[in-house]
Amino acid sequence: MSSLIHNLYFPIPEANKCIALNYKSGTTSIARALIAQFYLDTAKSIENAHYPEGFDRTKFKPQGLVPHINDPEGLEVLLLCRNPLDRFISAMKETESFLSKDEIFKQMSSGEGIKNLHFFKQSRFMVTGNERAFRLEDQLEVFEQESGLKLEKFNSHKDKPSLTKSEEKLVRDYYKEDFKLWENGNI
Amino acid sequence: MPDLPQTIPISGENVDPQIPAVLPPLDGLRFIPTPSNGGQLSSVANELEFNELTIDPISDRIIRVESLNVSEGAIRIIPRGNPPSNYVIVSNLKESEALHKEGVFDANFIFPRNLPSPGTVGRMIILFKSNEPSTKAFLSINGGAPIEASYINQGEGIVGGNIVAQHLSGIYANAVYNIRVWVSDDTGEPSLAEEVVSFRFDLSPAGIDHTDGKTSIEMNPINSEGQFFDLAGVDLGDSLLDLSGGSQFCTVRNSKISRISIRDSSIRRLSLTNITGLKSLDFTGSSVVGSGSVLELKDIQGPVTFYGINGLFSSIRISNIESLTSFELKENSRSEGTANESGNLLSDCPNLKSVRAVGHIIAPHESNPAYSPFTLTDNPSLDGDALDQFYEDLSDGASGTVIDVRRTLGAANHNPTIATNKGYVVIDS
Repeated sequence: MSSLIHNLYFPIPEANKCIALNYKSGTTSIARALIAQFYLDTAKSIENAHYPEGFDRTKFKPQGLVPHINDPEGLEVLLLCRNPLDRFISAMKETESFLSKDEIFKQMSSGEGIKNLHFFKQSRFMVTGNERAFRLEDQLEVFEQESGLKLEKFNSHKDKPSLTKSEEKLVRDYYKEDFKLWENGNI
Repeated sequence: MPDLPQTIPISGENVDPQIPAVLPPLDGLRFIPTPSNGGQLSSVANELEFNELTIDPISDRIIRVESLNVSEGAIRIIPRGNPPSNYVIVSNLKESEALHKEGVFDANFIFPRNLPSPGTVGRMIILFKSNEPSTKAFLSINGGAPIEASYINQGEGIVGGNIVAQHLSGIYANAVYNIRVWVSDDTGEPSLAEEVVSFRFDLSPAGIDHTDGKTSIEMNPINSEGQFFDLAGVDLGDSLLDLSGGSQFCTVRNSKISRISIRDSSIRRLSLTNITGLKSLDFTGSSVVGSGSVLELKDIQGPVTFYGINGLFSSIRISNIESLTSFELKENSRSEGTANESGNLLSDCPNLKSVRAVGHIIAPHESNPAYSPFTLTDNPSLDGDALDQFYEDLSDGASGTVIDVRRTLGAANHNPTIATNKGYVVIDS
């Protein structure tokens, strides 16, 4: 089913490029940077929004407010690619209150794959050959140069879930294309 | 009464594949999504080309029909994929006025391969509604003598008639064949009182699913459990596009369609994009399975009237529909982002005056508020009272869930406190 769900991309204004919306790999920072640099009205709206008690703009996740496209045709696609194991664990943390570890691994082995978007494979963006992947861990500066974005510090979850050796092996098998992409890169 | 010649033998070498039957005028085409193994076609359009009718563009588990190309007045079946499609289903004949004349379905077909192909069986099944045990189904090819379908099953008034392989052995690839199907009593004369539900050609060994070797593929269009349907680039004129066949994921794009109907279906995602000339979108009688159902309507042009749409879907992405004046989200729906898309969007509708969250809308999960905004932007007729009513409708939101009402009529005079007290972020400037 996930194959039917099209990829999303943030177009970079004034550039012939776009950024793959690859969840759990810096999308919040990317969205904030895009808004700050290109969508000033939206930045003003976030500043002036009405917030509930205990919430403010620093906790605001702006991905939904950044224009996005489904088809990157004609644009170079920039992908910020994260260590798949770290990304998986981060996704588990993100979804832990409504998606149990058992359910995640059950979906993983179901043949249809994990249906939550945080777990979608990063390699799904490698479609046309017009994509360039950058490792989040050590190629962030190159990504910033290529995208023209200045990213803020990434959020990091505390108390991350742990995996057993056998679970880790399942994750490595499931994300083997992602590992290959991440290890080799294709800048 | 149509003229049904009784004298031309149709079996084997007696059929001349180079002599097409007289081509009747053809207009209107109607697709119905399918069970997981094929496509259904119930009427045909003149000079209409179908490119990329893909039942399931993804799964290699499912047989697919990629192109149905009507040229020179005949339905050309072009199966592709690996393995190629094995089925041609023609259904809902009664509503195909151009092709269902005086009780007889009459159309021309061009088949992709000889029937039966080497090593295959090939057969035809006619389904028809009847409560009369004496009712029979007949087939005539190229004006040949009527062939009586053998009885294979009956239930709920649906009868299956089986045309076995030897009667089809004279059909060759790439030639035009006139196919007539009708139901009758013992006289053999077409009966206007009975209704042919569908007929299908099996182009491969009967009942064998080439994809996994299992038998007994269920192809009943009435009780289908379809999954995927994708249609693009067609002009259906005034014909009805009926998506009632049971597909859970339906996409229709870049087409001119006047009427779309979904009844008794278990649709989970319907996406209509860039549809012109739309007059009616009818969901009367539809059902939706569980939460996470998605309705996506974008760039719909035409004086469309919506029937039965309110309260049906739990997640919507609607934009640029001039005729939409009100919308209701499904009761007890869960407002959540749809996979990698942000949640509910209802924007660019110049005449939209009311958005209601009927009953109880379950708030998006706290961990994911950013992906579940209610986007109501660019609705110049949605005033402050309407926004306040929508806020009232909502249940408590997870902290940070966004309601974006920028560029609505009511952005200047609504009461965002109603929503913020429930935990929502309201963006209005």
